[in-house]
Amino acid sequence: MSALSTPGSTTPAAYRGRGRGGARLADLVWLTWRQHRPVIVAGLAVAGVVTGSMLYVAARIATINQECKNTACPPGSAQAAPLTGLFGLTNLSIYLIIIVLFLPLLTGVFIGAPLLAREHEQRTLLLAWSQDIIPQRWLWTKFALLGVLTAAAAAAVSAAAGHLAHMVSIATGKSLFSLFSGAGFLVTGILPLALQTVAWLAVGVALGAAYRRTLPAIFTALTGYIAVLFLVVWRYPSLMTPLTAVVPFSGSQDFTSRLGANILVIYRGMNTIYDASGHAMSPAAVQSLCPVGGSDCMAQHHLMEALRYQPGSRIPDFHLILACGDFALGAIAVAVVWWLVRRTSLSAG
Amino acid sequence: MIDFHVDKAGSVPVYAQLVRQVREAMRLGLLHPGDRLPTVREVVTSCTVNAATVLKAYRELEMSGLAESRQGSGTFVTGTLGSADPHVMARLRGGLSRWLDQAREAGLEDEDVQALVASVLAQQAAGAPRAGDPGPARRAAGTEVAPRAAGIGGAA
Amino acid sequence: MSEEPSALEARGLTKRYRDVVALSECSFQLPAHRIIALVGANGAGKSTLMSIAAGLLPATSGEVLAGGQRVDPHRRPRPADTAHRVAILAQDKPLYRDFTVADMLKFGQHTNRVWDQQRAVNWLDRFEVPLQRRCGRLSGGQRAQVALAVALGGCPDVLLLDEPLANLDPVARSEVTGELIAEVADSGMTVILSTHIVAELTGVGEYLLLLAAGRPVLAGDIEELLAGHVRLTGPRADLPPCPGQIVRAQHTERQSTFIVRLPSQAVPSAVAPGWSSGPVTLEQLTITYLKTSAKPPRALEAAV
Repeated sequence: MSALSTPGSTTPAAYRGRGRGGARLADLVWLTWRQHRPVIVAGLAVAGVVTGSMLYVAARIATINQECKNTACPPGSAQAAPLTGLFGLTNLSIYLIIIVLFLPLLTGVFIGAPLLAREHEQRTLLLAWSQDIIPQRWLWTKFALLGVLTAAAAAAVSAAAGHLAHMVSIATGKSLFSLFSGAGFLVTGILPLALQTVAWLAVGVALGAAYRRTLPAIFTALTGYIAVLFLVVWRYPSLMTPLTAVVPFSGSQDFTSRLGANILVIYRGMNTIYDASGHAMSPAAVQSLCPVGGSDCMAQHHLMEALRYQPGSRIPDFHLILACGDFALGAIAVAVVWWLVRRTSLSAG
Repeated sequence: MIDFHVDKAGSVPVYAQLVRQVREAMRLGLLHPGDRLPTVREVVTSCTVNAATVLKAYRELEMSGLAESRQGSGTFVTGTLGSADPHVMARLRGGLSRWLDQAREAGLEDEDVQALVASVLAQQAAGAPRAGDPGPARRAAGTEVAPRAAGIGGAA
Repeated sequence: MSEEPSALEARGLTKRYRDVVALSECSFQLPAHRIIALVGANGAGKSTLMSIAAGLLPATSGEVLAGGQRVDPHRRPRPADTAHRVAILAQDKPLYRDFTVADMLKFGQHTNRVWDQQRAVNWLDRFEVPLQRRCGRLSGGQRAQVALAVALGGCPDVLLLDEPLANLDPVARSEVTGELIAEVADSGMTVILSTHIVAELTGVGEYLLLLAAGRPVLAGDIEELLAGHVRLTGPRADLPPCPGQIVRAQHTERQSTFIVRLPSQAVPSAVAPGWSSGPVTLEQLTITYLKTSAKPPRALEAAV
């Protein structure tokens, strides 16, 4: 019974007006921004600082490289001085690249895990879902927006890391900084790093949805990330069947001239040693030539060894394989989130 | 304008209390014809009673001819409650005093007297509905007591 | 007038959580445009019922209709302007802590298809809630007002409030109650409020639904219910001296007290000698029905 037509009440028409409401894409964009403003800004700031630092260090190293005519400066020379030391440019590069290695984890922990977990903890999930929005649409719009932002930031960071690694590899000259080894490999692929960041964002969201509390999700993400990192570093050299080559011993252990730049050495020091014309020598023969052993003695006698390695030309292929792995991880996490959200039941009391 | 005070825990229905308070105010001269009664919203927020109750009270006043609602402006007092002739009142008062003395001699206490009066009032209200106080006993008023149409002033 | 569908109707509604039955075969019809009191002990199923009616929780079996349309948690959102809009406010009145009050209203505007900004702002003005303060810095009472303002701004046809007065001080309780009644009168929405403090709803609620152990035990217009029950006290007897259903009987050595539900065509008659009768208050009525809800009331015709 409305009191409009009954005596004693005054109801101005404006008070009962119904305005046009929202629940469209633009509205969800506003909501995502307003709700996650702090982490978005902080994340972009971190990415910006890391990218800027890497570009700055790369520029400094580039000038040094130019002074030494695009080869490694001799160690101990004046030009090479800024490169050395605990906070020398070379080590700074390494620190920065290791930071980049953990950016996907930071994304999962600071952006992904709280996405659903905090809404559960603060009971605002019920507030959001009791308005006129579809829960899945709400979630996936948020995820898409945050995913695009993090992927773009990761791509920029990865590009800067690639540039920096390239500069460092020129400066150090040796295979110390092969773009195929360790952290250098893992962060310099733009596609894998971007996909990895989004995948770990999804993993964070999935853990947050499963635990419904932020801290356990964060700890699980941390442990999981380190485990996956170890697994990848351990197994990635064997993603494709390695090549084998026989190369002469050399003191500098720089195989660039014979096998190409940025190779990944998987195994060396196999038992068979070869002579200068490629024939295998018996251990006794080797013993007689170099009783003490040592690669310098072997190099003097022009002996050769066998290596298993991946050539630098395979780097893009390996990056692609990693990218597929990250995509699969992300897809699984997304499916888990979809399933968990579908069966979330909320009660008001 | 009058202030309503409602006792929600008592046995008298709220709408009846509101009607009674309006009638009392009219009798006491606090409300004159043309005065505006509080709006439904004002009563609802000050007494915390639901709007249906207030509307019911105002409707009853309208049906007794004591008030009139004007669309958009509110509800206004229109009628008057005549009070009985002062001589009649004095005579009734004297009679009541004598009756009370009799009751005391018979051993009735105040509460017994009140119970007796309430019972007789209820009986009469159930038997012969008249314009006037609807009566306090809710049980007797299981269905609404419908006062007669407008035009009846105060009882003599 | 009774052509329009009831605000909320349940048919055989059951909700089971693994082995706990929260609601069991609930069927009722709640009328529209009124303030409806949903009363029951903790665990009686009030919050579950409200969550199902709001479309947040799927029922195990049975269905709920709001304004004649089936509530289905898996098919959202409800189409605008034609459907019965149902809003729910949970007991803890959640808000986003780092949003300002104005942001919360914007949230309501951006996530609802129908939004009346003026109505929400008016509500906040009445309670003098500052629009630019962060929700985390508001007092408990102010937070409740903001949550209510967001719920009201969505122009609901049915507003479900789960213990809305729970954390409010006495002054705020009476103010909020009064303003809610005024909102109902102005907008014609139906308010269903759950509580276990019944005394507060005397005079406020127009319809009662009493739940015990997941079942509706008593439902009806409050005035009719109160008019239809009587307490009779008199000398020890097995039956009360008037016809009707005995809801509760209490006996001492020499005295009996009955709470009797009168048949609908009750003619008020004089009370038998030696017996006194009195009305039953809403609180007493609910307590009586809750206490006896385990056993079915005996339906006896008493000889007068």
